[in-house]
Amino acid sequence: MEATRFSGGALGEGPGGTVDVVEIEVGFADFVRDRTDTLLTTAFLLTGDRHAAEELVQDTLVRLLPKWERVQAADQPLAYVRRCVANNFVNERRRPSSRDVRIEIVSDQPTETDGTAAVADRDQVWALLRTLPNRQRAALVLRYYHDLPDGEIAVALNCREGTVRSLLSRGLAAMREADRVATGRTS
Amino acid sequence: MTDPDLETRLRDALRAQARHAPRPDDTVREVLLDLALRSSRRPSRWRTWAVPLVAAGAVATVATALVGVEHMRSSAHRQSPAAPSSAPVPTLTDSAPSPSVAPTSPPSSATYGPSTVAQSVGLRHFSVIDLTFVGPYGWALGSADCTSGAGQGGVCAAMARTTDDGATWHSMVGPPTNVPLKACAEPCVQSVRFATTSVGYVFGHDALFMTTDGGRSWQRLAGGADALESLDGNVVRVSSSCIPGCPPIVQTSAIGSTTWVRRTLPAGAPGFGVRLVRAGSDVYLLTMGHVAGGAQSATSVLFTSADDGATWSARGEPCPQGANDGASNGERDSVAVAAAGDGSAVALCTPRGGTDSSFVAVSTDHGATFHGTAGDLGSIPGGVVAAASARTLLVMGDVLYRSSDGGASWRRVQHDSIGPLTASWFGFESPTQGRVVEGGTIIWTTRDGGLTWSSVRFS
Repeated sequence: MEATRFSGGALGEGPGGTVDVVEIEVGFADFVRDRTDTLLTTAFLLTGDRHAAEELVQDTLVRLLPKWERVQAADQPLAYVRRCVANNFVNERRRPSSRDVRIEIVSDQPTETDGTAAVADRDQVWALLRTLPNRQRAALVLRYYHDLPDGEIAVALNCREGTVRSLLSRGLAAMREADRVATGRTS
Repeated sequence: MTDPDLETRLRDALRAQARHAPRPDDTVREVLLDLALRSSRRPSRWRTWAVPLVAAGAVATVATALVGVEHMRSSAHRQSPAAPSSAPVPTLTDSAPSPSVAPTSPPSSATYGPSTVAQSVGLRHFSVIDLTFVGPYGWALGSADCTSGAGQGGVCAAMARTTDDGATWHSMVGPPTNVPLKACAEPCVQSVRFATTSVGYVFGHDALFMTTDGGRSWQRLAGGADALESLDGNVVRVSSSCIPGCPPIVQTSAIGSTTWVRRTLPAGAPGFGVRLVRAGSDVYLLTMGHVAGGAQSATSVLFTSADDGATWSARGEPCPQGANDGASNGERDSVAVAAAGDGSAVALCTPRGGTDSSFVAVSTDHGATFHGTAGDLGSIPGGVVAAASARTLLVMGDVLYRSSDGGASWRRVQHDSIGPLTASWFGFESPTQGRVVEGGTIIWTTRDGGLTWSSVRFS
């Protein structure tokens, strides 16, 4: 659906002059239809919970709707919204998933089959990731899934780049230590 | 284990887990529903569409008016009202304008109308059956030559949309339905309503489809709808289990929802046709009696709701009845109803027999009471009514009539270039803006309460 700018039906004023609310809503709806899947992926990796991921994305999009014109004006609207999802995640301490981190039970006796062992290892890493504090986990997801540089992670998490490097370092260290303990327990 | 090891394992784990992310369907639906509710509650939004004219008439009109597939642009004329055109420009002007409506713009100087620039939209013989607007966005349900598939060479359901308030129209993929032509195979729809830019409905007596993505895909819902209007965050749907004769069934739903709540209508609703209009929180449901074949005492009954269709009151026949004097049985039946945003409503009253003239009954108290007006409309075949306000009323019969004094007097709107005007659809979307569909191929728009009209032609 093309969205052309026009003056008819103007319902509000924005920084660029007359803003058509219906046009903005069309752009918003198009974005929701096209981009929710990738946002849900990010949210799921952050929260580790399907319900919480849906809630996080829905909450973020609804919060952004009143200022959607700003999102549309961004160089990369998807990146903008993804940053908002991450920011919403680290700032929403009441979110159930931030209190109730479920640790999936993974096999402590990998079989000799390479494929199964790989699956078990991924499950174990995933479980370790989910034990981390939200900010560390968000930094790791944005770096190791989205390949964002320090600067963009800093914007998403509303912190300095030095803090990002610290979050990444401490997150990896915590995972490494937990992995060592787990390995030691099973050996 | 080294950090590079862990980093690689972490990337692998994240890629693997990403495949387990939830599907987007539920979230998209929830967010768009939220959007729908917000946009439908916008204060400027209101719906006072008159229901499409008698279906049979509309079908006949559509069936005989398939003449072309291009449309004319008229937007430029809104900026340049005096621009001359090399071709005849159809215009509608009120022969006796109301000073209260346009004190500085006599209708004779209005030159709204299409230019001669034609633009193909990829549909042949597009013909409009029904219209709906959400702000400047509009959708026209109609028919056109089939472009592919088994129906190629025949006539298929078609849809066009506008993003510029009706100035230009573009074809879009139509719903998976049939529309009434000489016949209409199941699933047959003849009406379209959009609640928001995303959520819309097409419907007929036995079929109801909903889209939540602006018409890109359609979901069939159970049952059908004889009338459906959305406003104020919800949808009111009227259907019946048989036709004709069964009392209407009223249901409400949140916009975009597939869950419907049945509402209780007071007893006494005749089941031979309905008209449904909304304005603000007010809903008006006119249920009509069996007036054909010499039936007696078949007056209509109006039901009103002030809470978006949740609860209803029976108001009886809005039209005052006359005396049975031998020449006439005195019965006057309301055949159409319209509502305006100022809390007023108007019913078009036609006599059952004799030589009485049609007139309108007006309510200024949200439909609680109606009073007849003195204006004589003569004998109107069928007829639809639209209300821009309690004072500015329009009636479409054999020609278009306009009153600027609440129905006390009427003047014909001149129609000087394209022959007799036969509306297949008529409605107002704001106190000043209304539309008429003529012959399936011309959409007339007024932006001054019916004083002057511009047109877009699908030729």
